[in-house]
Amino acid sequence: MNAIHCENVTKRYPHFDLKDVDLTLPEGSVMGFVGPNGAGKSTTLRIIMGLVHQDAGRVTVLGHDMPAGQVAAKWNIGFVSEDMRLYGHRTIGFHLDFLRRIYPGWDDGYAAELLSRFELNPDQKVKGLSHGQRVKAALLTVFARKPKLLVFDEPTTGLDPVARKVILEEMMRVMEAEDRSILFSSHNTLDVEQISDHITFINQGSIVASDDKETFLDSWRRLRLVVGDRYRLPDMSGLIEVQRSGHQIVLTLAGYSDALQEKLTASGAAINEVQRLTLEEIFIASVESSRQPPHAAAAGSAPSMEGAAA
Amino acid sequence: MSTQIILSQADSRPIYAQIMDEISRRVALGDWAPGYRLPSIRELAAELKVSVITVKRAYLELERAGVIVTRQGRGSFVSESMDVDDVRQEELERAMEQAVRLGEAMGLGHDDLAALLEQYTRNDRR
Amino acid sequence: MNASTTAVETTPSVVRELVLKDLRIMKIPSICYWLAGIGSIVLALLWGDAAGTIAFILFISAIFGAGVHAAMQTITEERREQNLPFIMSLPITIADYTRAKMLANLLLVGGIWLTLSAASYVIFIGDVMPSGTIPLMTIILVAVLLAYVIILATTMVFQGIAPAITAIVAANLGNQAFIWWIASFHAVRSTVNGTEAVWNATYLTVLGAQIGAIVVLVGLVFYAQSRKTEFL
Repeated sequence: MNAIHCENVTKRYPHFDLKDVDLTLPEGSVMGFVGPNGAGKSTTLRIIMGLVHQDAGRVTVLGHDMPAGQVAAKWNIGFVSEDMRLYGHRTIGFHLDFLRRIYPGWDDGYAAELLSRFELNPDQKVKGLSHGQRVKAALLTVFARKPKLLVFDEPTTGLDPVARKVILEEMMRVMEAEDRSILFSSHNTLDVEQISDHITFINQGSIVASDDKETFLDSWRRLRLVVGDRYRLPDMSGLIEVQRSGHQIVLTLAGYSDALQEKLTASGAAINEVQRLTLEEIFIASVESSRQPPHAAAAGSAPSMEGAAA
Repeated sequence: MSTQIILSQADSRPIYAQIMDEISRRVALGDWAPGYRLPSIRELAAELKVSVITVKRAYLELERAGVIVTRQGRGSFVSESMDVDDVRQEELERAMEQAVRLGEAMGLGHDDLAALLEQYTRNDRR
Repeated sequence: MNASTTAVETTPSVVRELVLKDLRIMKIPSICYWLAGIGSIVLALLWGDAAGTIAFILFISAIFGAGVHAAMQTITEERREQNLPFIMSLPITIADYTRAKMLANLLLVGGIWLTLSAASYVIFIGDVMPSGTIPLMTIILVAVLLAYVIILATTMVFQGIAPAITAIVAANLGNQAFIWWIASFHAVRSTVNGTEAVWNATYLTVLGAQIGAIVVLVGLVFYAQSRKTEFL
């Protein structure tokens, strides 16, 4: 069962298009949604929430077609976005009272626990809160509803490390239940790398890559090779970047395997070092290679390699 | 229940490997005896604030290595049939490997390392 | 599955909570406008003709002010202050949102309008003013309500501050002009000082047009809102 399933979702704006977005979040898992500013993260999340209607494509959330089934779906979704504010002239408590009346599953005890864990005073007006406190207050109003699906748009942006830790902790506490899921966008790749089961990269309105995190981190490597004068790199798939200087070649690969390593050794290269990449490095390399197709990137550097060899 | 497992972001090993090492060490030291019930994958993920898939992978590889066994619907346990000495041996080898790598990085040769080892074993005996 | 079916059925309760929330937010300002309206009646009673014009302007302004304040606070401010994503993430549709806003506003401002109007009828008619003023007074009071509905409809459909302010200025000026215009009618001048309320064709036509306009505007709001796919 999938918590979220998007198929060929398209949305056109005058200066921005969301193109054929496919996205699947299995129930019980966390997906980190990563992309530069303006890549289409917020638009995608709003379409998933039924707040914006797609021009084409199918969106199913918690078994409900969106936007038609948005009421039924939203009973079980908690949404917090960076541009969402609580009522400034009202207290945190005002919001909690309001939501308690709406949601049958509202958990008062948990809300009280979160107030103390987030160090928030329910009698304080929202306009007097710091940025971090506002974000925590907004997240609190969602956590205490105990929704099946949490959709957070940039929940940790602009927060200090302590506040970030507290929030990630709470998100992971949600995941103790097997039927609850989280989709969150961020450009903090560290947070995404830490708690996500699945990772999706988006750039310029298109999904660049989407996979489970362990596969992501396992399949990307940077290899340092030492090669002879006339060395030619064998054909390989998933080659993202080739940098050559003198007798050294640094390869960035998306499809690393032991077989590939053997192939390189057989081609006459000495493998000096095999490095794992952080999610941030993978993200940047993915975005850069999506701007120009990987073959063009490899072909582009090939002549210069031969030039260096000649 | 808290496992007191501490992960390091500065550690170059992947997180799943860190979790495996931490659990293996507890087993090797006898703190987690054969038959000891491990926290569930989701419990440990919540405690460590790392993704479920990462803990799942650590458990899978520990299972493959014979350190733990997972019984469907009942949870994961430290393997009863496992030879604790084997795990200790592995733990020792890991430590040695790390020492050698560190030595190499410092430019120490085989003889330097051997001398160091000699020195440490002598210190221990005293 | 069972939970979601019951949940869908309880949407009216969410609309009710949204209405109650807006009423809570508007409680203090509304009481102030209402008291100002009552104050204008007291003013007219105490000083009669001398304060008549001022009391009249204060009376109209109290209702008009309550309307502008309610529409701006509950609709325009909510968008400007970025509270809308919070509200729209609740289990409601745009239609539910529209229903809640229209209900809250019409209940609040309609309530103030109705109680103040009723009070002025009871207090003035017969004693201070001749019964012949009843039709004119009714038309002027409905005109204030219509002006408010124009503002409400504009804020609701266009959401921005600029259209809201344009509507406020236009409705206010239009309202003043309308009062002078209607008072210049022969059919009005000939009956207004009589001891009997005479509902001649002029009064009825104008009143009918006003009520028709209010109904059409409210309908247009729901129609325009139902066509929106982009709401945030």
